Amino acid sequence: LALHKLAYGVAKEAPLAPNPIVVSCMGHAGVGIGAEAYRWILLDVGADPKAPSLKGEKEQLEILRRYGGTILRFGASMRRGEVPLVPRALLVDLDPRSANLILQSYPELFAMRDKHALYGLGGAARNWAEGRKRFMEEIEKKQDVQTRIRSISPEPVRGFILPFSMGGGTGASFSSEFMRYTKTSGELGYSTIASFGILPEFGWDPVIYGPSHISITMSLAHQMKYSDCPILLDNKTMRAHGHRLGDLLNKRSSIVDDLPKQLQVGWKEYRNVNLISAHVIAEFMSSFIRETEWDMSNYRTWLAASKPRFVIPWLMPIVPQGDSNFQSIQKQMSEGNEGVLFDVEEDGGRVEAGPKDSACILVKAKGNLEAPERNFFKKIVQDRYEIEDKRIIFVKVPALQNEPASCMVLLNVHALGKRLLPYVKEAEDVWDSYKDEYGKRGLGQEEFKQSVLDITGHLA
Amino acid sequence: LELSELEVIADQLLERQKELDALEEEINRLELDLHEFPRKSVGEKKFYALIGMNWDEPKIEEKLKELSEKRDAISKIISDENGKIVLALSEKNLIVPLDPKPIITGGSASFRYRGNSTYSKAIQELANVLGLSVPLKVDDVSIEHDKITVAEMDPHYAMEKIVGAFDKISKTVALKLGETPRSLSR
Repeated sequence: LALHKLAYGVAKEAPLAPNPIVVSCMGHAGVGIGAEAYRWILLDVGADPKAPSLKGEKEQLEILRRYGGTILRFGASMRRGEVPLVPRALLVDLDPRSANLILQSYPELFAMRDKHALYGLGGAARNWAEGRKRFMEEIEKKQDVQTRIRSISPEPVRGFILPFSMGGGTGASFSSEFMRYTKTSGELGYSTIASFGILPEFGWDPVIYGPSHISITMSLAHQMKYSDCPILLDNKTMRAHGHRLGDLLNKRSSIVDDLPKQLQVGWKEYRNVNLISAHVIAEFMSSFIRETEWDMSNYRTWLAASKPRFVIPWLMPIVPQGDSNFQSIQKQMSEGNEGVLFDVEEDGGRVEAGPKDSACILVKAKGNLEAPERNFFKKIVQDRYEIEDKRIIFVKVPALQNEPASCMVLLNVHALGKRLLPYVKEAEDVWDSYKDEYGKRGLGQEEFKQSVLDITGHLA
Repeated sequence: LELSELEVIADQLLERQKELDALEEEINRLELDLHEFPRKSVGEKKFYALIGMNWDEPKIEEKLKELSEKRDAISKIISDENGKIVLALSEKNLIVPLDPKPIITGGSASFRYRGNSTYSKAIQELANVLGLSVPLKVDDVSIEHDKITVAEMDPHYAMEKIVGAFDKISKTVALKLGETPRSLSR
């Protein structure tokens, strides 16, 4: 009763929380990155990621202001006077081991235990067609996905965030089918989807060259069709930054550090790379969980008529440090703590401008974003990309006391199409050798070629 | 390249493809004969000796060489013709002779080919180049042998969508023609 009174008291005074957003982590990489993103966002505001909870009424209001209940919900209390905060997260994989490890290592964070996990019968899919078929048979048919989403988030869901790797089989295919399922499933169809697809680094990541291109092509086609905000990340560049800024990243705690050493299942090598991806997702989430003026659906409006629809996180401080003032961002930029996460031209040369190229700059800092601060960012962007002032969107995210200031420049540029087309060409070139294998698992020539047609027409 | 020209080329390609298939079959049979020849010839020679007749050694290798050369020549013609089609498509040089006035029925606009012409082989060839089947569907546009239908009632938007569909086809064909992409070792 006391808890109910407390919750009622909080609800009465706090701003009305918008409908929630569920983070659906797809495949091994997606699960690791999604969980890491939650950790990042909690650490940034000084919460204990092992067991974030509301203690006093003042703190409750503060936390509700930080998150707005968008990505976290109240859990059942285990300690007197404390209400745990539980991520609205679904960890989806073919194999139960990766999700289980996260759940076991963070039993109080992922307090709803098995409800957070959706998994198939085990193993991985190195083939997009196999992954999709198994998602349909082992997850869609056997489990009521809508009910599972409701159990994580009883309120109507207004959005999904999907982190996944595009080069393997499971993450790319699961996210593709999940997006299709969501957009064609009644009320869920109105929700906004933001996908975070990670392009692999060939010769480094555990992906098979030919099939990986087919996965990337099918994933691009599905993101183009079903994702309202498809954001692409580049593992090669992130690994380079992970190596360059290893000292800083090693000081920052990661979910990998809390996993049993003998069971780190491939995440250890990706610790610093995944931390960077998690930072991107956390920064994206903070743009609408604390701000009432900018909503996740604004990203949908931004990109609705864009060609290509894809977005890249271009520039950001990799490991934000210092205080929450704007000058702290400038200092980090000058000290080389910043990084270009995804560049359109590999050699760093001038990029061919598109007439409708645009940018969305997220600035998390205390105080107002006045003309000098805005000009600082405009100059950085316009030195490299010919983007008109009027096509630059600024989103100011309030930073909390003691939270390091940070920023992220999201770009939607025409030249990105050219950067992505070689993946499609390679997929097209290898298709004949693999078509029988894929055909047996439900991806026929017609569907593949149609996807090539769609994505080429869009990107070229 | 006009669709009517493509129809003629596609018809010729079809004939040549049939010829090529028949040649391939014959070559396969001869290769098998050649493989079996050392084993069979011993018995045949003895048989002919027994019946008191001369045994003429079959000239399998010569025949095989002749047919293989013919096959290569036809393959080259097919490949060259396909190349021309692909190039014409990629350079947006295909003229599609549609009647500009559509028939609006049931929420869609249908544009018939001028003079009520049909182009079954040309459209099939177009689908083959893309690896798709007929009717060729590109977004809201359905390309068939006797008409092009657009899920759009406004003729102006329907026209735009048809142009968009052929633009998409052209870009996809251009991707096939494109040089090996720059290093993807990322």
